[in-house]
Parts: sequence; C-alpha cells; structure tokens
Amino acid sequence: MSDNIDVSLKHVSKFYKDTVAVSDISLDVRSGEFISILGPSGCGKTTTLRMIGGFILPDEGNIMIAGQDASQLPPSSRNTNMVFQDYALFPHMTVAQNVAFGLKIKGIKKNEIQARVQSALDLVGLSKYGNRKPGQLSGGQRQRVALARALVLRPVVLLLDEPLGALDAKIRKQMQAELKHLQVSLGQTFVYVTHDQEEAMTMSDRVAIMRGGKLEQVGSPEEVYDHPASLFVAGFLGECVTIRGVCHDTKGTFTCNLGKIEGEFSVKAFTGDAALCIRPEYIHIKDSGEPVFHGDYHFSGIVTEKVFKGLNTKVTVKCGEEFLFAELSGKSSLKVGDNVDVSFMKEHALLLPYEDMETISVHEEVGF
Amino acid sequence: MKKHHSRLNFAGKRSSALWCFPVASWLGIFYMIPLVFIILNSFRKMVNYQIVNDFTLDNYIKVFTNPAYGTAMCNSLFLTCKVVLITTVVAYLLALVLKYAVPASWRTFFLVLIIAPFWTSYLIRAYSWFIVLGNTGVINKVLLALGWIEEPLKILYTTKATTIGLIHYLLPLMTLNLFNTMDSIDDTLLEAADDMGAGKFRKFFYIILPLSSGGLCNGLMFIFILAFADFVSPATLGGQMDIVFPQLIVDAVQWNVDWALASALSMVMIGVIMIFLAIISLLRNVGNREMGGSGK
Repeated sequence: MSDNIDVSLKHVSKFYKDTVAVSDISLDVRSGEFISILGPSGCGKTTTLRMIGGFILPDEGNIMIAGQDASQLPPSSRNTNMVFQDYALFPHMTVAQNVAFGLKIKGIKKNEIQARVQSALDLVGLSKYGNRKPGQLSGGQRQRVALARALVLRPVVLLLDEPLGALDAKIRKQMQAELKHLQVSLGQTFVYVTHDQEEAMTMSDRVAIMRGGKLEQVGSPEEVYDHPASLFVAGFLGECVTIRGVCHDTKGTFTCNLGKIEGEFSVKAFTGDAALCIRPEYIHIKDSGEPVFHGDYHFSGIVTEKVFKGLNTKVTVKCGEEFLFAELSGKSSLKVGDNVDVSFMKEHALLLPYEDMETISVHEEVGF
Repeated sequence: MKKHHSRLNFAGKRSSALWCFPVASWLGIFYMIPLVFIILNSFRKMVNYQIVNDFTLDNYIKVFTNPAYGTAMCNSLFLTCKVVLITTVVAYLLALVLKYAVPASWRTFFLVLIIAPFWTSYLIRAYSWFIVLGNTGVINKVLLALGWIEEPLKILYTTKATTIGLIHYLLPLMTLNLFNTMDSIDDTLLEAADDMGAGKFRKFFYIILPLSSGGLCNGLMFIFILAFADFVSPATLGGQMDIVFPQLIVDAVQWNVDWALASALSMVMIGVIMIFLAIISLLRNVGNREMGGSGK
C-alpha cells in the first residue's frame, strides 16, 4: 500500500431540502486500500459513495480523484467505476457485451476489447459464460459480471454499493473471500459500502463508520473495535456490556451501581455521564466455588440466562442491578440460578461518554 | 428481461375452456361472422344494387387492374409510412422528456394533457385544425402579421394538413405506449451506462431503444392500422386531394352501392395490414431473442 491518495473528500456535505444527508465529511482513500463505509441504513454512506461516483453532486466541499478536483464532474467523466447493489447488468446484452460496453464507448479497438473482456471474465471465473444473457445466470455469477464490467475499465477506484446484499449467506461468505483476494492481487483501490459490520471488518484495511450523515470514526478494524470513539461505534461493531455511571476525573475513575471502577478511556479523557463498555469475550465467569484467576475487578452474581449458540454460549449474569454477559467458548456447565464470579481486566473496561441509545436510533432515521 | 409465464388455472382444463367462452363468443359474433360475410361478398356479383349469390373474381380483377386503385394504395402507404415515422420520432422525444426531464410529481399532469385529446371526438379534432391551418387560420394570420409571408400558405386541403391531423390523432397513443415501457426500464441501468462513459445518444441507442422495443412494436401496430385505415383526415383536412385507399371503400359503399367491390377492397386492406403485422412480430421475435427471452 502506498501513500498516494486516490480519493480525497474535503468537507463534503449534501442537503436534501431540510434534511442533511451528508455533513462535512473529510476522508482520504489511499491507493490500493480496501476501505469500507459502514453504518446503519440512512446514515449517508450510499450518498457519500454516489458523490464519489458522480451520481450525486455535493452541495459543499470538494472531491479529488487521483489528485484532480472532480467535485462537479458527471460520472462519465470520472475515472471511477461502480458495482451497483442490484448489479445493473444490461438485460439485452450478453455477458461479454456487458463487459465490453465501457471499452466500446471509449472507442478501443475491437481486438483489444476482445482480449480485455476475455481476461476480465477469466479473472472472475466466468470465461465460459461470455455468450449467456444475465437472465441465465445465478445471483453470484451476475455479481461477478458486474465486477468484471467495472474492473475491465481499470478505474482509479472501484466503488461498491452493498454488492453482496442480494446474495444468500453462503455465497456471500465465498464472494467476500474472492473480492478480498481480487482486490489484493490487483492492488485495486476499493471503496465499499455496507451495513454489515462483520463484512466490513473481515475485508477492509480501514473502516469508516458513519452516523446521521457524519463520519464517526475511521481506522483499521482492530482500532475501531478495540477503541471505539463512541458508544454508538462500540455497539455497532459488536456486542458490548454497557454499564451506565459517572466519570469523575480525567484519570478514569468511574462510579456506578457496582461501585468504583478504574477504566481506560477509549479515545480521549472526559468527565461527566459515562458508560463503561466491555466486550463480552473479555468478561470471565466462574462458578463461585472455583478459584478465581482472572481480572482486576470481581463481582458476584446469579446466572439469569444461558443461550447456546454453537461456537459460543452466551451467559447473562445479574450483579446487583446490572446485567453482565459473556461469550464462553463451547458449551458451559453453568446453569440458570448458579452463583458465579464475574471478572474483567481494567484494560478491557473502556470509558465512553454516555449517549442515550434511543436518541441514536432516532438519529439514524434522519437523512438517507 | 424475465418473463413470467403465469397461467390462470381454474381447476383443470375443462373449466378453463369455459372461461374463454365470453371472449370467444364476443369475437365470434361481432368480428368473425361479419368478416366471413365480407370474404363471401368479395366473391359475389352486384346486380341492380343487390348482391347476388354468383361466384366471381371480377371484384379482385378490378382492384388489381384499375390504376386508380393502385395509385390510391400508393398514396395510402406513403402517407401512412410518413405519419408513422414522424409520429414515432416525436413520440419518443415526448416520452423521453416525460420520463427523464419532467419531475415525477408533474408526470401525471402531463400524462393527462397527452390523453386529453381523446376526450373529444376525432372528427371534431380534425375540424379544429381548420382554425389553425386555414387561409384565415392562426398560422397564416400570425405569419402575415409578422410580414414573413405575403399571401396565405396553402396548408389546408393538402396532404400536409392530412399528415398533421393524423399525427395529432396518433401521437398520444404512441407516446403512452413508449412511456409505459420506458417507465419500466431500471434507472440504475442508465446510471451504469453513465458510469461507463456513455453520453445521452449512446444511452438512448444502446439502452433505452432496445429495452423499449416491445412498446415500440405495439405502438407501431396500433398507429399503422389506424393511419392506414383512416379516411377522416384525408377527407376533411386533405380535401380529398390525394385519394387514399379507405376513401375508395367509402365511395364504393356510399356512391356506387357496390358492396361486393367494397368487400374486395377491404380484403386487400386487411391483407396489407396482415403483412405489416407479420413483419413487426417477426422483428419483435428477433428482439425478444436478443433480450434473452424465448422469442414468444
């Protein structure tokens, strides 16, 4: 991955009448990087992607593509190509004609078109399907045609708008792996929009999380998972145990129903209403009879719920007024009603400013 | 394009035949039986203004040997082709504007405007053009007042007026047909074409035209038949300057009371229409196969 910037968004905003669809977004996409824009529906992620592609023009700010200001250029004049959510294959053309379309428009010679179409179809494993019509292909195959059709034009950046959204879970997983493999082997820059956090985490070099038209946090999957900038990000990227309380000082002293806990500030120090956030995999639960090895903090409680999920078992424990839960690997011998010890490490207890999760969900409705 | 071959299955085949009965009897009584009479009459003789049950080919011989009929057929075909061509081009422009330029909230309003002419009888619509095209009509008055012309343009009672009247008559039909199919074209297809660098013209010729060919074929069938069989515009606006084929049928029935000849002329017209329909459906089949359909 080089330090070249392929796409640069500078204070980009888009308004629809009274609603703000995208608000003051700045983001640099590095050359050869797989970046995902992640967020709940209506967060402005698709609008952002479509602004990069030129289908929507920004009301404020600039969009630089390969170092040039493309803010007001139409899609046909931009060196970007899009893989659409529902593939948008031309139903009246064969697979090969679909892939050749852009090259034909560019006025490239016939034999070169043929060679490039063939190698693009080889790339996605559809070399034998050139004469088929899109209607004769499966969802996964159509997705590959759409990919080949965009890649054959060798865009600076490939834009993907929830390209796997319409596929069933199994093919989806397989396509995720193929996409990632393709992206790495071609060194192609991908901007990928999805609402599926797992998809974003498994494929991306960096994840940009959006909420209510704003960019909430950008970072590697590990960074954003381990150090979420807000309770929203923490909750969106995976499950977390949240305890509400107050943060007294900038050293990380937190008081709640469970007493006084020293936590780590996730990103920056603050005081006031706070939430202590612990990923369930960092919480340890032991039968109260057993000796305890783990954790800076220990609480005793009673198991209230146990859900076997196959790989893991989710165990919920009531400690005082708070409900804590943990993901225990495999099966668990704990039973509902058992007295247990709950423990976790100080370094896994993240302190984040408190937000009302209900207001978060209201925010999601704003814009589109 | 996906085709859904859904068959209404009302508890077995026997009862589904029953469901066809109303349509079949309607067509039988009001279309097939009269058609059989026309076919039979076209091979009969007229004696003293009465149709006689004697077989003859005279009617057809007259139609194919008398040069007046040939000229009229040529006039009709030429006029029809001209009208169909102009109507189709204008209708495409209208439908494109309606679909891609008019905001969705105004679309119904403009659709109503397009349909509005149907609320008046065709004859009245034809006559209303007199006010516009006549020697003292709107166009001539304006042009004279502007000093662009010195004497009134002769439009009324020429084939030009016939053409205008027919286009006005057929335009809504074609526009609605085209708009309907165009409306079902997925907008993301055009975005994809845009994304790959296609401009307006290429988007039209590579995407919109092939994907609206179904509506185009339907519309062509409609307007060809209506234009070809029309005698109102030529008789009123055209002032019967270039005699069209349907006018000869009217003359045969009204002035000569020659039902047999009129029947033969009708059969020739039906034949020409059949040929045109066959060509269009052949084209459509090829188009359908291109679309990945079964060609049905």
